[in-house]
Amino acid sequence: MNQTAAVSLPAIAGQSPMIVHLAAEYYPYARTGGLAEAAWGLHRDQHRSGLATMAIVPLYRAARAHARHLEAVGEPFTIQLGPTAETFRLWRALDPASETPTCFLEHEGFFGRAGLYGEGGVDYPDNYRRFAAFAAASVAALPRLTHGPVLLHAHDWHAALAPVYVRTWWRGNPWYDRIPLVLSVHNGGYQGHFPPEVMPDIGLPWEIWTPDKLEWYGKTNYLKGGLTHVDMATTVSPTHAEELRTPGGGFGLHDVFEWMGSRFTGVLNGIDQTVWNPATDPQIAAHFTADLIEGKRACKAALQRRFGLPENPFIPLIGFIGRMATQKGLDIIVHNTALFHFAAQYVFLGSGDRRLEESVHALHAALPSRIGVETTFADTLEHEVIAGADLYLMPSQYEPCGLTQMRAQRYGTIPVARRVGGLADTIDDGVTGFLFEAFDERAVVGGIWRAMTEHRSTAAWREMQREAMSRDFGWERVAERYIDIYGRAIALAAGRAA
Amino acid sequence: MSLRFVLTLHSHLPWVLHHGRWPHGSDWICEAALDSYLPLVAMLEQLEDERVPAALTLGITPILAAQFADPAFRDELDRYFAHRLETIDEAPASLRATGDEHLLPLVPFWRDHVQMLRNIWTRIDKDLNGEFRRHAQDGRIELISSAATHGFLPLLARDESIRLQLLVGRAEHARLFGTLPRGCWVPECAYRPSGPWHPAPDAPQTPMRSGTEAHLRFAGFGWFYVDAHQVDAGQSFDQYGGTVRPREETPGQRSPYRAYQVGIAPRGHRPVTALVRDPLSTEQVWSRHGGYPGDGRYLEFHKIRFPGGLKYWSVTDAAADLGAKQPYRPDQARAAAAQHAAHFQLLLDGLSAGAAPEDDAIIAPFDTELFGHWWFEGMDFLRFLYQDLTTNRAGGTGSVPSTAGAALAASPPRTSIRLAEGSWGKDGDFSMWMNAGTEWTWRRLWPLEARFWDAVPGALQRWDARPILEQAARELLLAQSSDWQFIISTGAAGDYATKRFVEHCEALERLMPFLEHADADIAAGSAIAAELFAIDGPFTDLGGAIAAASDIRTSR
Repeated sequence: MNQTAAVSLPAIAGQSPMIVHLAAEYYPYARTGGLAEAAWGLHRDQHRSGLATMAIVPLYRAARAHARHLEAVGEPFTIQLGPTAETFRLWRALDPASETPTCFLEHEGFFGRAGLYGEGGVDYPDNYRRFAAFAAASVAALPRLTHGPVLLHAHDWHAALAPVYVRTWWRGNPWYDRIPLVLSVHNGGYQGHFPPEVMPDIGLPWEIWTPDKLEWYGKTNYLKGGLTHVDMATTVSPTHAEELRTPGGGFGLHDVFEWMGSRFTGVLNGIDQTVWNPATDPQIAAHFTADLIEGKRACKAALQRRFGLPENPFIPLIGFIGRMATQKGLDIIVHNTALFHFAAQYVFLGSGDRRLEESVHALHAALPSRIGVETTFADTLEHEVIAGADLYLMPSQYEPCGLTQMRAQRYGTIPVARRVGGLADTIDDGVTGFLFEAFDERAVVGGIWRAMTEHRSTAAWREMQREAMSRDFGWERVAERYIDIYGRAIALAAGRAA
Repeated sequence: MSLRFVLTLHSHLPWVLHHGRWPHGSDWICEAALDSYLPLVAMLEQLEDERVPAALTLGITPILAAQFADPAFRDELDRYFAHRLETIDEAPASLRATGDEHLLPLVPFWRDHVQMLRNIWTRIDKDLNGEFRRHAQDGRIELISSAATHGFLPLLARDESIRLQLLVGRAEHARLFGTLPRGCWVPECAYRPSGPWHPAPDAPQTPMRSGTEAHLRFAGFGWFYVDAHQVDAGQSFDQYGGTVRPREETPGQRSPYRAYQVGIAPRGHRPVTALVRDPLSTEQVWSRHGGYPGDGRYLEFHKIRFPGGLKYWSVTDAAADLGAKQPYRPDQARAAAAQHAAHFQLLLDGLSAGAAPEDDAIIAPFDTELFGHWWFEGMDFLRFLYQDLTTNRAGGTGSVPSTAGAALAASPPRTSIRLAEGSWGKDGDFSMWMNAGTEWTWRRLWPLEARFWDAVPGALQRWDARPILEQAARELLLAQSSDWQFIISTGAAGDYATKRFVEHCEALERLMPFLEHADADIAAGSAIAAELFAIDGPFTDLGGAIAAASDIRTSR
């Protein structure tokens, strides 16, 4: 295990606190999107740096496959969640696949299901209660983890009620009152909106169903509840933090983000640079580095073969990986005549909206020698596309952070992306990639044209690749920023408790 | 210490193919080819043969390179050569007829000279771009680009226009020369910082606009040239008046012998660097009064014999009446060029001797057409200079010729400054291009810019309208050539410049309705576009550049 330099947090009551992450997704146990890796990546670096840490994750059916060696943490415990008492059990992973201290919250009724959030494209109808239970039970279980102080770091709406429970159920309890509370918003578009009637069901008092707490346009908003009860909140990039403060980008919560002032800030996620390393990646056709880039040619040839495209080292190869969804910009790609008039090859990897999948398949049918499509996602393919493509296209409508553009840069694959969220913060226009402004077909064409122009010159392209590959997107600098944020949260909590 | 010597030649002529021949039109480019471009090739070849490094930085504007690549230019120059040799053949009889037999010895000189140039033209396969590309690929020279049609960037009303000029400029350079330049000859060294824009009381209202450096950065350029007064580094030189403008020395004045980063680059972005024209070395070469070209032994530019159009006289005395000019003596002129090259080396040594430790390079940019066209022996001077600098014949501190890119790589800027608005033109400002005689051109151009860019988002969505859109962009770019205002201001060929400017505006106005109306007859518009393309056809693949230029964050 890598061990990074030891860091420390300000003391609470004379002791360094344990950082406890609450996340509905956590790598490798439960994963549908970026949340799992983001929560895990940050935690792993904190753990490696010597901090006392723990993650609490629901024990989903899927998670059991990765969590075989478990030890009970105390006896089962029961909490009264609104009308019914619910019994949980906390398990600690003995040899965690995550390489981080991890506990699982077991409740077969809530979490022992086939899906994380739903099945067959339909959300579970009791998600409001499942994740309220996850938050409430995790908070109740905190004293089982340590007798010392705790800093609670909740992730996204599924865990956002944890700070609310700390500040309502446990108010007046000196140990709980001292807990600094931090909430990370990985995707502000998902907030946990439920009818007002859920309030008694989740055991929360009507007194906090107010516009300055959980009420939101007549609904109960879990994310808003969390934001209005925490000491510090973060999102996954500085630009997205600014976007969330605007009426156009705040998903209806811009006034809350604005109200938080400097207590709400953006911190870029990182990527695992040991996994995403073209010099050692076992999933790609040949290894390469910024100084020895030749292997990338073999990766490109392999990718062209894999997608049935003519092997041609000179034609620019443009990759796209992601959900086939409007948010990812597929709508401004699939009918973009000008885009496909460029002398370039395209590969699309991902699944999603059936209409968009069909459109991409139709493109392939029309231009089989220039467009390759794979709608069955696989990790290996993701590595192959990132290693073999020359350009990586991310025309996102919004992108809170994004990870693939960072991975692509590490592989000398130049991103062409819209200037939003984390894309704006991780791509330096004209230096490590190309950014465009508008969310329309014209802007995508303009961005690709600029990239294709640069690609004409081997020397200029190599210079860009070298710059891109030298960028550090590791978790270390992210963890450093969080030390500052935790320090502020600790100070704020101390002031509150006093 | 010794400073690097960065000689830069900026080559430019507006689009003149298919727009007349004589007195104004394609003969301009043919004359410049015979006077300057082919002699430049000859000089580079000779230095190559002699293994003398000629670390020249050569700017060729995209519109000039486009003409070099146009088959019409090859035909025109073939014709021009034939005509020139024909007039030389006729010269002896003509001279005898007027009793000017004393000028007869110059006829073989001209025949040999023109024949030598035609041999080069044939040898390089009539491909000037290819020949310059060869020298650049071999590392002897560095090629830089410019705005597509040499638009006067600070006076363009839309940032999209500026971006299109620069994007097309760099892309065309890549297409024709195979490399992507970092260096840009910003037309007329015309720079404006970010801020409000109101060049005339009736100029369009615009939001705060970006500085020139932001547009350069967006287009991928990394450095450009400015005049000394723009960085508060000394006097500015009025190349058209031929004098150094007096300027009060101020304490803390900046050195022109180092590069400056322009403003603060946004986080993670490449800085844009300004190279400063050295007023002293510039004056020595440019000035019609104290400068070398005024030496009596050189060929007199202004006195031309008709019929035939040959030049037979020397400057004699710069102040002398044309009637008092004496016959030209090529051997004496050549000796003068050698002497001046040696003198110039001493001048460079003097500058080196007085340089501060942080100083790095003497930046000496000139119009290519000064050498050969205005100053016939200019290419000889440069050849001697490179030879002298290589052998250090004068035994001085030894300035080392360097390309601009190499000088910047060796000594990147250490200071960031805010540049002043200005140009290298008359009075150091924009008045040569914006004055009582040219204001009408801007009043006509600005609304056309707005019409074009307002129509672009819709037009780009219609693939069948693409040829119309691209031709409209060509006409807009051609109307934006700074040459039209410049020529009107000098009065030299004002009618031609006026006609050309109006023609491109009218061509754009013919095309715009097909882009502005969704139900326009695209077939009819395409026919007009094709007809215009046959005349005004520089640049390819404009659609992507238009898309990139128009994708701009604006509150407009």
